[in-house]
Amino acid sequence: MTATPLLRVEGATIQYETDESVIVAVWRASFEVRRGERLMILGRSGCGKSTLLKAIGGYLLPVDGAITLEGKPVRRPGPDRMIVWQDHDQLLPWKTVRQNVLYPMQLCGIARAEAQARADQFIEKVGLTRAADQYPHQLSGGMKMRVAVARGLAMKPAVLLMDEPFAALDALTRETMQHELLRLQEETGSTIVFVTHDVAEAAVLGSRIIVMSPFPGQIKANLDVTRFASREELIRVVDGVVHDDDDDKKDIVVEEMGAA
Amino acid sequence: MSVAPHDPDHFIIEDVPTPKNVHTVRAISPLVRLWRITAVRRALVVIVVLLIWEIAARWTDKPLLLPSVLDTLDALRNALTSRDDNLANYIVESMKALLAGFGIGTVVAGLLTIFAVNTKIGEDFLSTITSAFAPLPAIAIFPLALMWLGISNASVIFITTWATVFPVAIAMFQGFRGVSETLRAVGRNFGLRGLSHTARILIPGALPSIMTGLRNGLSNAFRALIALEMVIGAAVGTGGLGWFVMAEKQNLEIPSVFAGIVAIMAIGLIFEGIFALIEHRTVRRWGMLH
Repeated sequence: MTATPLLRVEGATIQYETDESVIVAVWRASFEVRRGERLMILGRSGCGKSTLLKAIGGYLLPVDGAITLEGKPVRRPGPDRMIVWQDHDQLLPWKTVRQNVLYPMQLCGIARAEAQARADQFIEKVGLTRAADQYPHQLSGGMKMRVAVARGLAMKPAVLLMDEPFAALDALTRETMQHELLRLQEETGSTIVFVTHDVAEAAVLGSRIIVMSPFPGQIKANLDVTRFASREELIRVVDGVVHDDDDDKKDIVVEEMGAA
Repeated sequence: MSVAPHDPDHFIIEDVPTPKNVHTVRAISPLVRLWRITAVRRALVVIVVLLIWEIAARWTDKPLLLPSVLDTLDALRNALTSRDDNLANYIVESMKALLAGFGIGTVVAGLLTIFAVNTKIGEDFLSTITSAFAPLPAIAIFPLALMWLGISNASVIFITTWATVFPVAIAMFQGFRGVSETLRAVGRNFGLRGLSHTARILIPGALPSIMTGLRNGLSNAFRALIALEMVIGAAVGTGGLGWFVMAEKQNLEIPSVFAGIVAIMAIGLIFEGIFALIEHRTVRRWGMLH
């Protein structure tokens, strides 16, 4: 793990428009991600965690502040930030498992032999060698998710972004997937930014946990997991931060929050 | 009703013996399996329809109004083997016009759709135009084609193009719109933008709808063409399948009239079969259509 941050979010304010209004989803968020880290962005629904991930993905540009990857500002979506989504339809239905993993590599001009070797290697890593020639509709939810993870990692992206990938899976599959992801990340040394609303999931997977609170989405805590003596203690602290704003009635006026 | 969690009476594990002589896999009778083949059932439908036709023909016994199946098939064979006035020539004539109009219409529909998908005004244009022209049968613009292009091949192609454009454009547009946000975002994540995003994500993603549109466009164009040939052929005395049917009626060769209609239906069925085959190899295979 090198000292220079790979991904840097500096005072980023991100908003999006609906038909009626402009919504400030993330307010002046700042954090860094180092190479090889597993950063968890944790928060309840509406806290702006997915919006923040979309901005890192390049789908939304911050209206204030900056997001930089390897020193360069993020301007648009790109394969250096491969994304694993929650949805079951994130695989191209007209391509087989192997073709799905191969496709982004082909588009990025990775040599054929190299791409094929990598595809086979990562399909094997997620245990889908026997299903490599099947189409996505023939796979279970967990298998589809494995393909998406293999597709993301095979690209060897600067950072792998994951948007609540396991939330739609059943509990048993989810637990298996968490452990597989940890193993894969260890083997590949990938950097991962992972959005979740599940405290336990963040505690299992994260090497660093950012806790966000809603209205507007702000970072409440940035915790280095290695500093905690036990997972129980970590969960207790994180739980405390997550439920911190349950009682106090926060003012939803954005300008006043910013002045503080 | 509450149960004490450690009450041993509520934790009975039944000692079930393994059943003997139970066939867990049973063969289905060959007759039932035959009945499950779509082609077999459809062939049966055709046979039943032909039987009803044959019975009706014999019962009415007026060969000038309703010739028998055998007479019709005989006429069809004669028309297809005749030296100077072969039905195949009429078919080729019709297919040339149909494929030209259908091809041009599909390209126009594709351009309209890309325009509609990428701009708000294009969307308004397509929606307004299609809802305005949808109730209008393509043959209804024949008077206009006649004024502008006269009685010519151009008129025929103009009308078959017209008949193709709207069903294809509507279906393509709906198909493009139906491609999920996730799939679009995945394409952009791969670095795809603009036309390459359209070609590599939107078109395959919309393929089920596109296939439906092409199918409807082709049959719409075919219907318009047959009707048009009946009208134009009466004026110039040449033409395709539609004219064949009209001309044979004027010659009172009634079995040949029926033979021509059977040929039209058969061509329709062949188109249907081609589309079904393409769908089977693509969208059905990919689980995009059930």
